[in-house]
Amino acid sequence: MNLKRQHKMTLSTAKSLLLGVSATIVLGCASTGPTKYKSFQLSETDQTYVNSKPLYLQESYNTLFKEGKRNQVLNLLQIGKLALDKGDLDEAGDSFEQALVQIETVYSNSEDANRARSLWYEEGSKTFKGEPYERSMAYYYRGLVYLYKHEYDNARASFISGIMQDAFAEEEQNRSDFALLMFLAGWSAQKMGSPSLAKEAYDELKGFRPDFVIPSSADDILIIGESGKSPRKLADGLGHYQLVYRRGKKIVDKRIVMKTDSGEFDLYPMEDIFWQASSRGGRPVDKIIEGKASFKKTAQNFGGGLSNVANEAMIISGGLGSVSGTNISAAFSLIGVASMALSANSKPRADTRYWNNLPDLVHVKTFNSKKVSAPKEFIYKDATGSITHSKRPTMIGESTNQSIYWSTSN
Amino acid sequence: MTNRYILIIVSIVTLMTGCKSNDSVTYDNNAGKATIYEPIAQSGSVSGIGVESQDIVSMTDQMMRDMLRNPMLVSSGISRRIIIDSEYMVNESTSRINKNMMTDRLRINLNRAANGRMVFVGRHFSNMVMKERELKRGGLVDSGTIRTTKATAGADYRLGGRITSLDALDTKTQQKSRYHQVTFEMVDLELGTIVWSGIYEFKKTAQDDIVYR
Repeated sequence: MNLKRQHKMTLSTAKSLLLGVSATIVLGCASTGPTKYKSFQLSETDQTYVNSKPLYLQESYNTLFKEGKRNQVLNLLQIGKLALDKGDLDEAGDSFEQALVQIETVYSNSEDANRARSLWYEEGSKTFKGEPYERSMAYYYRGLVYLYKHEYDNARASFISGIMQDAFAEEEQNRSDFALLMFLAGWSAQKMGSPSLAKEAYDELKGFRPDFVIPSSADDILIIGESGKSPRKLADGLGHYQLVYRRGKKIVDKRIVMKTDSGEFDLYPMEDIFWQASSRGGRPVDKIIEGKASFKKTAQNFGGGLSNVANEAMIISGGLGSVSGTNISAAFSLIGVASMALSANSKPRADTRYWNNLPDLVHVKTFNSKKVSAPKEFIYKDATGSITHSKRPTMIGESTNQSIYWSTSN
Repeated sequence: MTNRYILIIVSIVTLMTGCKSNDSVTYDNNAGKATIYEPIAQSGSVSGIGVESQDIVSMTDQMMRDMLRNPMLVSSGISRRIIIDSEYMVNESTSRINKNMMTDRLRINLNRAANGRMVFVGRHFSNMVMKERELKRGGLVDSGTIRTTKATAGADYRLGGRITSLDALDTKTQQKSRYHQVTFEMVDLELGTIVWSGIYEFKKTAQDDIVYR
């Protein structure tokens, strides 16, 4: 009799051990951090292409190929901005154009978009197209390159397209409020000889920046200065499902003054990129991600509850020497472990990839070249008005119809 | 009893297989796609709501047929001299477009179809012509085999036009719609009258995947 009871006890201990080990293995194999993506090997053709690029861009192009299609748009945007800062307008134009072609492509029945909606893959598995503020900025930079090349109609088309990216904010008052793009659309229309289109854009701008002095029709110098660092995306909440925005870290530059032979002029702070990023509100995809997070929590609670029941049943049946009780507890345990495994493997994490060389603020000014001499230097100042540093314009395009001077501090 | 153990072990193995970690994954591991030629007159595998190849093809084909039927432009007597380039085509739409794609296709196809009944002045090549004329008149090269003229050709008509668009956005569904209107007008370069007009319109609607909205 004692031998039989001892045998049963051994059996139940073995089952408990087996289930415990299985639970540990199953839960242990689940990921806790963000998914890490393997790098691709560059083919000989890719490497030749990278080597054909200017030295300052080779590392970025290397990353472009290593990270593949998933981050292609993100890398192209960052390459474009780097090129613009070097005054390499052709390279910048090409990169932004390539990125925009993909941004404008309508994704329906796309494999990775389907995957990003699935429980088992995080949102970041999708091909990056950027959030609306990033897409608007892609149009802004593409438009700048068009302006530089005196293609005013395509510049205007770019700026208007950028405004439209901002049309889907949750709060109505934050929809299509990208003042910088309205100003530039007006400027482009003015330069392409369409005063009615220019007036339309400037009238809209006045609603958002009533203190801004609308450019005179005789103005032919456009100055654009960027300061600060890019808004950041962070994932918050249980399972990091909630996308939140934070202003760039350690931003010192707040104001820009343009130095010319005729004197110094304050640039007008036209746009706050962090505001554009953070004022969009909820995204439709947030509901899906929230659903994933909710599933994760429910499955975890359900699994944990069943495992507790199973443990208690195991102890009671072990004490009474009941084989059927042990088997029931084992079944509960298995379902509990399965449920916890499902929970552990669901991926509610929000996509936090972001365009990291965007500015915090964009400042503008227009002049008439007959009244003000050519700009020499951008002087960056902190909030108290103290000079932090100065920089010569990196994009200079001078002509009789329009001269453009642009620089960024980051 | 043994069967129950087997069942448990099988279940564990199944669970473990099911929870295969995707901590380190390479999604884009397909072998790529071999280059394929796609019909330019049809919507391709990559598309949006802007101006695409099929729009340019059908627009220029329609304008070409219409121009060839116009007796002011195509006469049986003296061939009219016409300039078709993008100099006076204005893009007021929200689509970025290289306008040369439209005017080049139109000019080249018209030139081929007109077969001499219309003469096209290559004003966009005027620098090239001027350089050669300077070389000839400077005596650096001879006068060629055809003829010499005092001046280059003046045109009778020139093409102008406008591309406009109207965008509609449904903020609830985030469906985007864009209506394009492309106008072409042939202007008499002496009188300033418009001797021929053509219009091409199209509208596209699309909705991106929810993960991009």
